[in-house]
Amino acid sequence: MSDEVDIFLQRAAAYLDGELPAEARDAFDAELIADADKRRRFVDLCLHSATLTETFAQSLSRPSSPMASNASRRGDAWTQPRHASFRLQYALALAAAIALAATAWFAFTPRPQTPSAEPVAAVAMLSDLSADAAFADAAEPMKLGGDLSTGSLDLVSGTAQVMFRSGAVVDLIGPCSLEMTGKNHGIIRRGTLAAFVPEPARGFTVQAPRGVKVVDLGTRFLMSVDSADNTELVVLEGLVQLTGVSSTDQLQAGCSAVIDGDLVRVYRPGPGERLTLPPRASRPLINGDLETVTTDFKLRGNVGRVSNSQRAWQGSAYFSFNVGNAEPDGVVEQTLATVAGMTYELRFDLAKYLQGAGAAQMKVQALTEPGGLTLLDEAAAVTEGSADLPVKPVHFTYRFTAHGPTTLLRFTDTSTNQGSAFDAYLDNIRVQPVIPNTPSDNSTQQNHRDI
Amino acid sequence: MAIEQDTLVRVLVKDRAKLLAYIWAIVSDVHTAEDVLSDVTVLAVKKREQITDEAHLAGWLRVVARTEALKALRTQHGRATPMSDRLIDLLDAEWARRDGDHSAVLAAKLNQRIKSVYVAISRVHRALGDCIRAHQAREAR
Repeated sequence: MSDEVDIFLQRAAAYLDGELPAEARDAFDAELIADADKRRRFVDLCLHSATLTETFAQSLSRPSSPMASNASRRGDAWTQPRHASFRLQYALALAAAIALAATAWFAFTPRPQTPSAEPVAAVAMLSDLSADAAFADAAEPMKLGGDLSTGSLDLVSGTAQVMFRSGAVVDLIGPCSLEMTGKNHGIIRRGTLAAFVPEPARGFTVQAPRGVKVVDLGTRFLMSVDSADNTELVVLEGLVQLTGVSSTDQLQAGCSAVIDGDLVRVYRPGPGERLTLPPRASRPLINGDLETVTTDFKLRGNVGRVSNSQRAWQGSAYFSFNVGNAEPDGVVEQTLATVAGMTYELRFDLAKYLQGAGAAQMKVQALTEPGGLTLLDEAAAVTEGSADLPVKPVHFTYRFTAHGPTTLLRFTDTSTNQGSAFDAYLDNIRVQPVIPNTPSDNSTQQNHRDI
Repeated sequence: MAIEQDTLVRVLVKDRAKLLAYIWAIVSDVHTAEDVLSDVTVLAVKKREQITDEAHLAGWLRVVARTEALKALRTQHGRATPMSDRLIDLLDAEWARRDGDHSAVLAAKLNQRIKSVYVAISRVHRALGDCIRAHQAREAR
């Protein structure tokens, strides 16, 4: 898009927001009169804006919408009232004059794709797909933006996102089988889903094997069903109602639950805690400070755990790669206990000891286990070395989203120090789940290094 | 012969975003546009007997929407001067060209997966909300 078009569209957007100064409005009027192409673009922008407004009239709450904020700042009190729900107002305008009951469903229901096809009510839309997404028993290729009717969606691999007509958005991690039974209701047979439920879709319900039912009363939760039909639930935001075989409980944000047969175990955060995961996943990484001799890390190649309190910047132990300036081929890995669908933050320190040419460099990977699909693949490098003691490290932070109950974390030495005299030191490895809406939950912190 | 009630409702629902866009272009304020659209909807239902068919309805809605939009601007004290009649006429020609477009055709013409874009925008909005809350939390400490 050219700069001129870009600037014009910004001006047009300001006009639609009521923010174009009075003196500029006449010029804008004349500009449109003189240029048919700009009129076409202006109409396009109006259509986009109106469709967005209409689509998200409820899910985007007015007080936090940019336009409402602008109106509020301008003090345009007359624009504020009566607009709590545009759709409701619109529907009432229709319903006040005619009986909508018989016609509304027809009006809202897509027409059949072909004249011979039976009318099928779409309950959801396929709103996202990963490049490797594959479906079993799909009658026809799944299309992004395509309507989905009631029935099973069997994602064999990859990830997919389904937006129910209620507005509930569900991310599926393959392999996953979800049966869509209504515009605000589904049944998970196997696999993992992450649900985001905006206000209009409150009451979104997911059922699981063995009579498990989760009703969302808030906004975000993760749910997995394993091959033994056991269900794991983590509430990230808001509130959900969990119904097991013999009990019903409400779980607030930060709570988790495991439903194993008839047994429902609920884990609630203690004082000062924001999230409590099931015990099996409460410590994703073990002995990340390396102070304990551990078999939790598997080591291969030219790497060893070294205890040297003079060189260590924390405690006395660290991983030392490429000892003796041999081939840099060391690998350190640990299987993490994760929750499928949960985003984790990986932090670690990497240092370059001595000043030889080249970079102390690690290939940092998070891989599904089993499967070996890449969830994270980054290169962390430190070019400035020093002989000062203790060694000064560089801090690295990355994020990945787990796809299953275990995830393989791997560090591979890819230092470029052929024939150079320096070592790569790795220490202070931490893996923590990311809780939404925490002050540190800022996308700009992803994949960065702090020196 | 008047337009069928089912047809009237279906068109009003199907084209509500397009009609909102048309009104919004004139009044340059989405809240005013929403009010006007509601008024136009009620008028369409009340005047159904005067509307003969779907093609007639499209033109009728635009004429009434234009009238109601300009009336709304006149009654709102202190609002900016409305778009010139000359420009509204020119834009009407552009809007008329869109009348045959269903949303899918429109999406194809715009070469965008519109609903997916909306989802992305929704997520951006959510992320922005998270960011603002995080900022507020930091300031509160």
